[in-house]
Amino acid sequence: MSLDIDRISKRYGDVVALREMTFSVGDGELFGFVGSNGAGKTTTMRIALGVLSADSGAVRWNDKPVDLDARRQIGYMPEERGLYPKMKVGEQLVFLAELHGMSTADAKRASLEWTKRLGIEQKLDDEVQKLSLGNQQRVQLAAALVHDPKVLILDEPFSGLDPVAVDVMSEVLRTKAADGVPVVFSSHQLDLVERLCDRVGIVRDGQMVAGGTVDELRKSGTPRLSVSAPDAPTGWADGLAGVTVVEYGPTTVLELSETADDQQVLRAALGTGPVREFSWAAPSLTELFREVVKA
Amino acid sequence: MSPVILIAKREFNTRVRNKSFLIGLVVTLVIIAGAIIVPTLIKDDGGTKFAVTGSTTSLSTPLSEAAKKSNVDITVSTVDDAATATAEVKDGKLDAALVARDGGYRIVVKEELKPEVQALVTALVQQQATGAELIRKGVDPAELASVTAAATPKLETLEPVDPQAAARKGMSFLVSILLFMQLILLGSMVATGVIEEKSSRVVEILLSTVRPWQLLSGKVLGIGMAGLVQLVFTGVVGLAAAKYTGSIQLDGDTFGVIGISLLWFLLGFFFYATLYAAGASLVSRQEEIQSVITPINMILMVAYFISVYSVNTSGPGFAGKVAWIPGLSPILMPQQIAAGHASVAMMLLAVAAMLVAIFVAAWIGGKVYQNSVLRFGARISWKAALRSTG
Repeated sequence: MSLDIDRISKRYGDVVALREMTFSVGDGELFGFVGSNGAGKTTTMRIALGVLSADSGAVRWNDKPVDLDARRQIGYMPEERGLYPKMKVGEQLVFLAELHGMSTADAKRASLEWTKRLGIEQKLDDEVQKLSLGNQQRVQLAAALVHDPKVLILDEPFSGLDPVAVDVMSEVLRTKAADGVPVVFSSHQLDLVERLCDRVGIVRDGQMVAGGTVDELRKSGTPRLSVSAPDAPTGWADGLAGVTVVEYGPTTVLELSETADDQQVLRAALGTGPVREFSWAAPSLTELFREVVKA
Repeated sequence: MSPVILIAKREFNTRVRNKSFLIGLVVTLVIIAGAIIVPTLIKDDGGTKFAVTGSTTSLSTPLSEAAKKSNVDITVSTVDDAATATAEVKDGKLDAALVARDGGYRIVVKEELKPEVQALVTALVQQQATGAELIRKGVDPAELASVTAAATPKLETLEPVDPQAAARKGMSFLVSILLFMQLILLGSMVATGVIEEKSSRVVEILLSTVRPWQLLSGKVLGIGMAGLVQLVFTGVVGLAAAKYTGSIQLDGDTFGVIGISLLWFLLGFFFYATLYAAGASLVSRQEEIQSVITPINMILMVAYFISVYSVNTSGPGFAGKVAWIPGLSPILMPQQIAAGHASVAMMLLAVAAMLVAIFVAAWIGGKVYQNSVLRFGARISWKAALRSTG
């Protein structure tokens, strides 16, 4: 049981937006979708929701093509937030829930429950346009959740949230995933993605270029050697065989080719004075992201 | 509930609860009631107050009778003497007085006298003088009377007079102005609604769960129903006012015209609403609304001007020739029917043509809407919106 994005392609005139974009998100899995602006994240999500149509490829849920009935079971938060500005919060949530196929009574119950959970229950009778930006975001999330979706697709759900709201949002996403719902969200906040997600996909130029669990991804990256030698002048590691300098600083970060000898690096470092740290580490998601996106 | 109904319900509730909708309705009702009641108040001047005095007192009865016969509205009274009569005319208590002076007659008025009153009085005075002279010369009064009676031409009408002509004219004017206003007003409501969804981006959420045609039809239905309610209210108030003043008779004809006007309202609304919605979907900001709705407003204005021109001409005229054309017909057909000019065949032809036009408009409008409603930013051309897919 999963949500499968299967080789979807999309062009806008001469611009290729997606090139056989492929990934799948299992039930109960939190999938982080990262990539630079314009890499194709929003286009992929819009196609999954049927808001856009793909030139080729398919979106499947539980091995069936996603049709309108299936889409009613998806909770969607578009990148460009959208609600009726002059409609009251409560009425709006009930309307959206009903539109997704809920009965009026269930819709009322659910909108009450979600506004409570998101701490905006006292705003039920306020027009959306009168709320603060943060509260509008919460209503937007409630709008994505109110119909008890079986799949969640959220485009940049964390952008514009204050730290408290970030915690609320993270908690909600974890809970939904724990309920067995596949959750896909895109974000530029890579530390958040690293912390929250079971798996991550990195997109570049409309293609999935790297994917896997955070650990897998980090291990797939070139390991880096951190050397802390306080007295070493800048340029001390230049010219060592098989060594590429990532950066000089309080800690020098190096990448070594397969043939290079880390003990030789250590000797060179000791030659400049004391060495306080000498360690191998996998790159962080942010470092990996830079590396993948640059390539 | 089906999505179309849900969307229609939301639109209807949003419109009907809107303050400006209610204020607009009240203002329209006041204008309609005023337009019907006020003219009858102003027109009711009670006819010409005419006085006879002294030697002309004998003319009192013949004048009243002659006025009745010629359908001239005057009230004849008798005043003590010429000086009083003149004074009362000056005060405005009387409109005119007939006095004998210097061996002749004078009609004393403040400024002017209605020509038909003057003609009537002149003829009567002359007739009386001629009669008196002839009798003095020895003519038999009875013979004189019969000769005079035989020499009075009778009116022979070739076509029967329509006693309802004025009412029909009023009704046809009322119908065309109401339909014109309502179609323009609701059209811009549809356009504003489409742009509101687009500019607030809520359309993306909506279209992730309903199809574009469902959103479009729900919106058009909901706003259409709100407009119908408004129109029915207006109609009821208009009829009540008309009944109160007696300017329109509430008979089968009147109700027929109202029923047909409502039918044409719906036909016109579905046609125009689709066009307005499609036009509005081409732009992303409320400020750009004029650029897309003006051309559509123009078609309605042309129809309205033709109808106004037609109201003031007798017979169907130019409006009768073009009333069947889809787009013009929602205003011109009801106007022609109210004026009593349209035949059943013409009406059926117009309805058929309009239904085809609605179908075409829905097809093209739906396509344009679907292709442009999710494209944000710069204005999209009609051509591009028709061509592109997805």
